[in-house]
Amino acid sequence: MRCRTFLAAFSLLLALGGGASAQPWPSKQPVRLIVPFALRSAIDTIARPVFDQVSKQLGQSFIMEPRLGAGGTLGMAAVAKAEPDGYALLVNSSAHTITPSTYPKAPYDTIRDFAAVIPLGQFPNVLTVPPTRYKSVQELVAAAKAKPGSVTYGSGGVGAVTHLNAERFRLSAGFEALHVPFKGASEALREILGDRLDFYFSPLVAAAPLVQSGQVRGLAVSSPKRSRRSTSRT
Amino acid sequence: MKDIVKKLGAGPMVLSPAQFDAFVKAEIASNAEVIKAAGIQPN
Repeated sequence: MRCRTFLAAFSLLLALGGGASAQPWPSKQPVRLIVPFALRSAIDTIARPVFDQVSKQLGQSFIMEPRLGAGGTLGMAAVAKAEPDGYALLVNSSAHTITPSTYPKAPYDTIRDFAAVIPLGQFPNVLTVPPTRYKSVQELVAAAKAKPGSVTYGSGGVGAVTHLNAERFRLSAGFEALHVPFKGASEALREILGDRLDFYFSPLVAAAPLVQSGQVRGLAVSSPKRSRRSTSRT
Repeated sequence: MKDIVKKLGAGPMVLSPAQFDAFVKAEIASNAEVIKAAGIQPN
């Protein structure tokens, strides 16, 4: 088994990969942080300040390397092929637990080839709607059930966590709707802002400023507790 | 470090590597159920 290091969306501390080593870690510069998503994505937004702090505390350089493509599997594959010495780490999102189903032919085994080190945190999604359309989740569900298939919902792409959250919501509420995939949060939120989309489960970090300014309405948050960043107008 | 995470709107997760590994496996199974139920086609 060739274990690699895996850091899911949020937190600190690192661990070695599967290869046993007599040398303390880290003993050489730098540590590469492979991020399979774009600059300023939610994962990038949280990883940078966290690893800035880790870098200061350890006196160790961490270089973030975006490796985009194929739903994050290109970046995951790059780490899976790297030496398991703790100097190529994967900073990943929930995509890590989605792609085994959506990319079953990826050139690695998610469970066998990565060692989970530590979670960096949980980033909630917020259910956003245009302020002109719905005032509550109940109103949204009622509208969707009244005209099956008429309600539209966005996502950051087929199989993205924003898509799965919408599907969980849709399936549990029991209504049919039309999925409209986008490249990312900014494109989907633009459609909510323009009143051209009924709902979108947005990463909180992207939606919070728009919710707080009243430009979009946040109806619910996909976390056990209410987020303090989304409080003002939800 | 927890403060940095909280300021970004995230909730910290305090899990050991073993607990985190179990969490990952459970999430893979849970997501697979949703993907199947929603009819999302694999790439």
